[in-house]
Amino acid sequence: MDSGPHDGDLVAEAKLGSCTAFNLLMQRYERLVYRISWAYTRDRDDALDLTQDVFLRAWEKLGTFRGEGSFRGWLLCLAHRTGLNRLRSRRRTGQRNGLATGDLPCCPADQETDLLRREEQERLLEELARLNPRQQLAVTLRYFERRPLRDIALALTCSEGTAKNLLFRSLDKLRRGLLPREREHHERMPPLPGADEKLAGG
Amino acid sequence: MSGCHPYRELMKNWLAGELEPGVPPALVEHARTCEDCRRILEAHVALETIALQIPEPASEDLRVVREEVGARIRRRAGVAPRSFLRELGALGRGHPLLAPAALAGLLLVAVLAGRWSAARPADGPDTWLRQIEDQAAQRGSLAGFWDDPVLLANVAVRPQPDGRLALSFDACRHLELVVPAGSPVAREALLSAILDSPRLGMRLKAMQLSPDLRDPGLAEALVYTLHHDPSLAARSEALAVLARYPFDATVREALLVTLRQDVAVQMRLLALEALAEHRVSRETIERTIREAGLQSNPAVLQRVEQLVAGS
Repeated sequence: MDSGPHDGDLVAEAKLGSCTAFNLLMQRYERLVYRISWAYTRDRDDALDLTQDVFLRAWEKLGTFRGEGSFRGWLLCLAHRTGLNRLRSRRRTGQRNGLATGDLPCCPADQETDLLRREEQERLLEELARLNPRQQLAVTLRYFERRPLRDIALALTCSEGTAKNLLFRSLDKLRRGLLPREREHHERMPPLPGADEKLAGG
Repeated sequence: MSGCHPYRELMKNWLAGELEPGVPPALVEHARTCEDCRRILEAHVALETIALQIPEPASEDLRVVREEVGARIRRRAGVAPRSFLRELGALGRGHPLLAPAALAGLLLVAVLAGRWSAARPADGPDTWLRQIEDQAAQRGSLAGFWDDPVLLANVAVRPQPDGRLALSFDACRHLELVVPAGSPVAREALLSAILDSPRLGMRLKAMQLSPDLRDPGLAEALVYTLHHDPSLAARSEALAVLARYPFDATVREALLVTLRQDVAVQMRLLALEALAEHRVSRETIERTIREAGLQSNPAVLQRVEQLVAGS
């Protein structure tokens, strides 16, 4: 955990317009926000750009943070949402993360595997951005910050047992979120009885 | 999901990182026949894969991001608390040559007043220097700068191996303005140094100079430093300076908060001494000590007895 001023004090100062306080908050969480940003962009420059966007949005929206949860949780939520928006906008413009610069494997079979894997990871990130803030915080701290369960429980202000259950439920939710589209993707529904004949008959 | 129950606890512990890194064999065996559990494991592996690929960001990159965000925040919200610098920045945006011209004017004034010295760099000139560099980078030429004799006389030029020239605007680093202690410029400079300077020495110096001004804004900056500065020396200086201010409600509250929550016992004792010196009642001090959970700290209790025994 960080020593120094509490997040709550810094947020209160920043709400009053203190750039110094906001700068301290940025220093505290910039690495974590960068990691999340990188996961959504797969590129150093894009991740830095997204990190900048997240902090600018955080500054703009600071007035909406009412201090009901932790600032870290609120910021992570914002980072995931901003990342998701970036992912969608790239999809609209036809770019794919990390694949636009020609880093595809040479072999076509490998390319296909790589594409599928990345698509799966993108869908996972989309689902992650849809989790509730506490679940997002648990998953982000566990995987992107590699924090032990004790720290996750502290951040969530709950017992380690509760944190463990929350983490499990989050992964279960991610799994369920992925399931329908995967089925749609990989498993073809069996044709209705007689459908082929109807089609053949015109 | 039937038959999963015995494996759920195992999976929870493993996902929470409480077991050995490899997937427990019992879980592998179960996942072969249970699609739901297998997919949870797959989600875990996918997250691990993403996390492992993330490179560590360079500190320099993050510093650039911070500076850019800070600059945009100040521009967008007009938050720039240092009005003196803001006015100069506004000048620079008005016309590319106005900022250098303003700087040249200031330098000229300083030269005429015979006030040159090898003083330490100030935050203001550093900001102006950056503005000049930005202007120069945008223009791609420094023709306008060379026309000014003051700047020309104080810019060091070094040829580079590739034929370009390195320009050192050292002139800015030797600027000294002599202004009345109570003037807005002095106030802004002190505020800037106390709140924004990364150098501890500068923060200490600025705090030492501030008691003469008796300014509410400076008092606020001192309170902020007292509660938030990571350096014990800075917090201690802020407390010493505040204790010399008129003992009003702001100072009293700041000292009580320090007694209640500062991480260093030394700071709490200093706050205690200052409160006792200003004859804050024993009840208030004892209540604060109880709130801070210090009622069993023998050093604090002994000091209370020594300082406020007579109240």
